[in-house]
Amino acid sequence: MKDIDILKTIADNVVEMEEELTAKNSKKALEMNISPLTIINQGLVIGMNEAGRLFEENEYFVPELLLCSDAMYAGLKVVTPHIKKEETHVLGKVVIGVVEGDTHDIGKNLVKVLLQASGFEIIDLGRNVPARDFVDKAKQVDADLICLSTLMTTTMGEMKKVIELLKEERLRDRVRVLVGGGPISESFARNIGADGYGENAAGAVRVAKRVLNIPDALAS
Amino acid sequence: MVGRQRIIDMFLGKNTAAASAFATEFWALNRRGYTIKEFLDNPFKLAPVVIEEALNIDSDIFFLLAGLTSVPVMALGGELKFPEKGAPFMENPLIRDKSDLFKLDINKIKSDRNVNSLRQIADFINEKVKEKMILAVNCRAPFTQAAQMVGPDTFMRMLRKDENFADEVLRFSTEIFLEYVTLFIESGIEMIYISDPSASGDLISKRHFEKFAFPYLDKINRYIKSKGAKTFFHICGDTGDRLDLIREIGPDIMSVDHKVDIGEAKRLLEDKVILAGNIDPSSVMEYGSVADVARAAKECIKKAGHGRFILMPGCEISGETPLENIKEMLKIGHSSKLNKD
Repeated sequence: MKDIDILKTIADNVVEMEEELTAKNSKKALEMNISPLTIINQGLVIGMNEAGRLFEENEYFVPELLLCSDAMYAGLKVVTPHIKKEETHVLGKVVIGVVEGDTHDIGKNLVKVLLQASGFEIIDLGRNVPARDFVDKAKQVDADLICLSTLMTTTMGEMKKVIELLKEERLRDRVRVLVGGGPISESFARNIGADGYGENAAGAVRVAKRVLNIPDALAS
Repeated sequence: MVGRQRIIDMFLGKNTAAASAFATEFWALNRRGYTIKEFLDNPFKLAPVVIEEALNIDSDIFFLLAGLTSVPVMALGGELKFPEKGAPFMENPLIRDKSDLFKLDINKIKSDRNVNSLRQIADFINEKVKEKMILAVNCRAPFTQAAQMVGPDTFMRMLRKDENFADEVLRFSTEIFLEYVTLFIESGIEMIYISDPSASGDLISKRHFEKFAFPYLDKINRYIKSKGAKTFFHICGDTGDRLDLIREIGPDIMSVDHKVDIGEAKRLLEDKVILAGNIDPSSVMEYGSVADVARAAKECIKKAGHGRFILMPGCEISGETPLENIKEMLKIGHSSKLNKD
């Protein structure tokens, strides 16, 4: 089998939610001496991006996207131990979480997967995260971006608090803020002074790159 | 005319000018600085706060227990965490495998202290507000409740990987729902607010909705109606592609979120189901000006105000929503010429 064929097969395995096959073919690709980063970028990530596209087009929904990400992670688990440290290139550091008062984290998890697939380093604070924790963590890890998620209208105000705290800490110029989730809209994002609004998981990745001025060519 | 009468007339087939704030006890408590945990621990102490806030706005429907939909699952042993802000959530799934499911004893619901105190408080609040408005008690639909019992991510995966177990959990979740809702209906609650956020088009496909949510919504809707109560459905997010199935189920009222094209929703539901909606609860209701609210309200009425229609926010409003915005929405809804006979 040619390199290009096995990489396409891996991408297809991810899109088709085939966890075991993705792991098996990722192993096979390593045995064919294909570099781990090539397997990731031209196989696993291509598949996950395609899954994201299908999600945006309402062909795939959350169950499908979760299973695609399971497949991608199964491949990553096989391949990642073979990456040499100097080969990795991180597009940016992202602190992500669901704001305080809300525990719906499926959307946040999907954004995390797609951002990771695009080459970002993710620090996931989980759910029901106080505004202060986002700011402290961003400061501690020197984050480029904070991604805030909520599914509830009753907790949207927490997003504004994060932005205000960043201002208080004089970090606002250094750290971009992206908001998203069911009730969030472009105008809400504008109103609270966020840098971007992710309409859905795939959209969030595009906006993350835009607000951090990362050209598409640099991203996987 | 009081709000209660507007809704009753609407059920009788009249095109009254109805409007509701989508305000809940959670909203009332938040406005006054109380948490949902404080309410659960001592509902009779905080009931006057809820009643006062409910009566302060001229809403045709008031929604109760929206922040406490997890209580029946808690009665079965679910460990809930009450954050300082927001609604309680389950820290760990109640059901991890089939053996967990068989261990659950549904009889615990009827004898649970919290369940009984909520039933009594619903009855008490209903008595105090029912001359002016309809009180709708919130129960979580079987699909969303099943997702909560298993864990949302696990349940979503299960829809594709273990359909049989998903069905088993859903059947049990429906039993829980029926057991719980019966207590309120028998107490005299006239309307049940059935929320099913996990069945949204933002999360699952129409195919999955039809297979895993529709049969159970249909069952509970029939049951509640057979007991003489009215049904109010709300599914957050985009439900545009599944409103034909909602019409088939036939709840008394279907509330749609602001993501749905309200004109198209009206066309799909026809007049079989009373449509309610759908001003943006955050951008317009909470963060917009009074003029923004007026504009959005008129737009909704223009698109969907013919026939039976209830002007409402697209989803529950937060405690931070300015009172003048709520009152403006209600004023416009109640004075709408389009809706009148």
